Amino acid sequence: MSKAIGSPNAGIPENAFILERKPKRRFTMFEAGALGFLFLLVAVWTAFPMLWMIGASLKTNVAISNDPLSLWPARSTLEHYRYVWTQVPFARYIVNTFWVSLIVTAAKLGTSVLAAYAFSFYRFRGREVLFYALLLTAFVPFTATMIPNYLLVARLGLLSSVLGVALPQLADGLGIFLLRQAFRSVPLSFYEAARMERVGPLRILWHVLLPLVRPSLAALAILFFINTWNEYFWPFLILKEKSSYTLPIALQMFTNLEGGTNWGAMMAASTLTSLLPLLAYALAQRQIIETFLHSGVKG
Amino acid sequence: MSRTKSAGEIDRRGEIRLENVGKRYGSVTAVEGLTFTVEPGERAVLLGPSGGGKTTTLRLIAGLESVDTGTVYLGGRPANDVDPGLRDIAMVFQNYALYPHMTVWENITFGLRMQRVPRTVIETRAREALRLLDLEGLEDRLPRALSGGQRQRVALARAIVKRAPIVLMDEPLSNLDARLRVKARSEIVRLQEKLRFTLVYVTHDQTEAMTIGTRIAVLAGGRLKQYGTPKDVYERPANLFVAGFIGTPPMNLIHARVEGETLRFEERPEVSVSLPTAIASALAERRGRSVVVGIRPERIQFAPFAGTEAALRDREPDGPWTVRIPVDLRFVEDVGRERYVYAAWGRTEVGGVVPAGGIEVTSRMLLMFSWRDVHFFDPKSGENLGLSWTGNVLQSV
Repeated sequence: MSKAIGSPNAGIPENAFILERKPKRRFTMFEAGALGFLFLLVAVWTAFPMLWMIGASLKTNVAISNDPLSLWPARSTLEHYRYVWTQVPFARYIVNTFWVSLIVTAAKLGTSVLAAYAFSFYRFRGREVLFYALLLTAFVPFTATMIPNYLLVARLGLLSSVLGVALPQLADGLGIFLLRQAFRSVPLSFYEAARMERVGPLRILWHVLLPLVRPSLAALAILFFINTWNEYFWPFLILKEKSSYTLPIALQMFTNLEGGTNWGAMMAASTLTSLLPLLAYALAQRQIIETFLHSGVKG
Repeated sequence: MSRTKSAGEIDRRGEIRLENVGKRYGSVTAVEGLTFTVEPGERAVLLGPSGGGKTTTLRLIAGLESVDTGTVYLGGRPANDVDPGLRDIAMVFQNYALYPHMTVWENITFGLRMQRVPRTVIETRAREALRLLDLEGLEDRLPRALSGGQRQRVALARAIVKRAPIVLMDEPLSNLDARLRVKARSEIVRLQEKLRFTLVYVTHDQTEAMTIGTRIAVLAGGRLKQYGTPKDVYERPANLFVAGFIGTPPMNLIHARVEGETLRFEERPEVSVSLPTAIASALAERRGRSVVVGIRPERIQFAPFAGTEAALRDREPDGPWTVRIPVDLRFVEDVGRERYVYAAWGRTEVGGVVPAGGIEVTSRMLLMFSWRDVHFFDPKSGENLGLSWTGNVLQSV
């Protein structure tokens, strides 16, 4: 496309079928270069800590303290990974984190789908008020609900359990909002046509509506999953037993070891912790971006 | 649902009756006081300008909107509280509502599959529908891979596999181009004549209404303006609204005053014409008052202004019943086969339709029409005064 700079239709044959739209102003070479440089800077800025984390996890502890700024070790070693895997019940933490994330994701998706379905396709008194009230919950800071939630979970006897971590987050205002936006893009006549065919409400949802909002569902699932996976403070409050730790809490174990922090092990554990969310995001990146673009919300 | 029905048999469950039906949205009245009956096997067209209440009426019949006042009867039974799915009605939506993630086959059979209709029955009905609508070979296509005309036919196929005694269509041809539309509307008529379901069809296109409907309900402002055969609404418009809405170009509506045995035109006070005795006596009680004279453009003829009495008489459309008024032509529109001629009428115009090349157009001509073709309306209520002609006899209806 670099040929097109300066002329909006350069390179397009005269008789080509062109949709009528205002010609977009192209960037000049200088602007494009400057912008590219800026993006590169932001990318490096964002990626640097991660690259450093992976690099450090492969260095010996001596190398880390001697040459902390180098990104990649001269001689890489897997000793930290071996250490993490054998010295702490890391597999156990992965399983814990996975379960919490799975339960929360499934529950949030389920409640969001049902609520958004009602808010989009059913007419009832107080619908808009109720909807915005639910959306508002997405903006209540965690610190405001932390203590009531903690007391509730404690009274229910769920401290130090996966369920205790999951319970307060089984529904999500933002999820309801995003799915309602997705359902709104589905013409009402799809729903009505199915109704005229005597299809029940849950089957309409399953056979007609959900397949049409699948990208949004996938994006939400991954967002919910990653958020829960990375969550630190709430599980930290609830989980008392070491055996019930999730990965983010387990990480702090390496900072408090006697004789200072074991940086190598810490970085190896961090790398392992971020592996799954990174993979999930990479797989669904396009759908996540599309969902936010189409909902009018910036990610 | 699964009972078989031989082609051509009319299903009594197809009767639709609305009694004083009304629907409001907040403070807006969508429809009011609707009363009419669609007989089983009929094709009723709901026609009117947008916002007239056509689609609301259709959705009230479908059960997609709840009735506020009055009663909708289906097959003779009150249906106000019956769920849309239980009304045994099929519907074709304006945007077709084809599920984009399902193939043609899946779309057509979706309702039947959800009803757990036996697979062999589904197979038979879907095959028949595909054949009837010339969709064979497209079963595995997704809607996005179909042309507009094909999508429209898939929507029809989906409606007929249900074998419902009533099929509702909401402007099903509005997304097609003009040529396809002509083809599609004859297809709909052919389909209905074969399967004999009761059809209720919404459109704002009067040509579509005239060609499809066996009965037309003209709706405006949420009220029924007239309900009758296409011939009825065209030849005996019940009121000024229908008179002005049906017909292209529209009916000329000329204000005049009854002065004894003559009629004086308000826009052209210098012109007064004498009324035939039968009309004069029918209008006797309106002496000194206004009437609106309605005359269809295609009933107006033009003749050269200059000419002998004998030559003129030869061209008179209806002997002594003919009205002849000198006019100045204002402009002429050629529309191929025919020509629209507009003559100055005070500050307005009177339009006529003449065959292209049929007459030589000069600036001053004689406008002619027969009293038999004239409708009289009350200017206040807009109602047709009901003077209509059968043979040579004036009837008051």
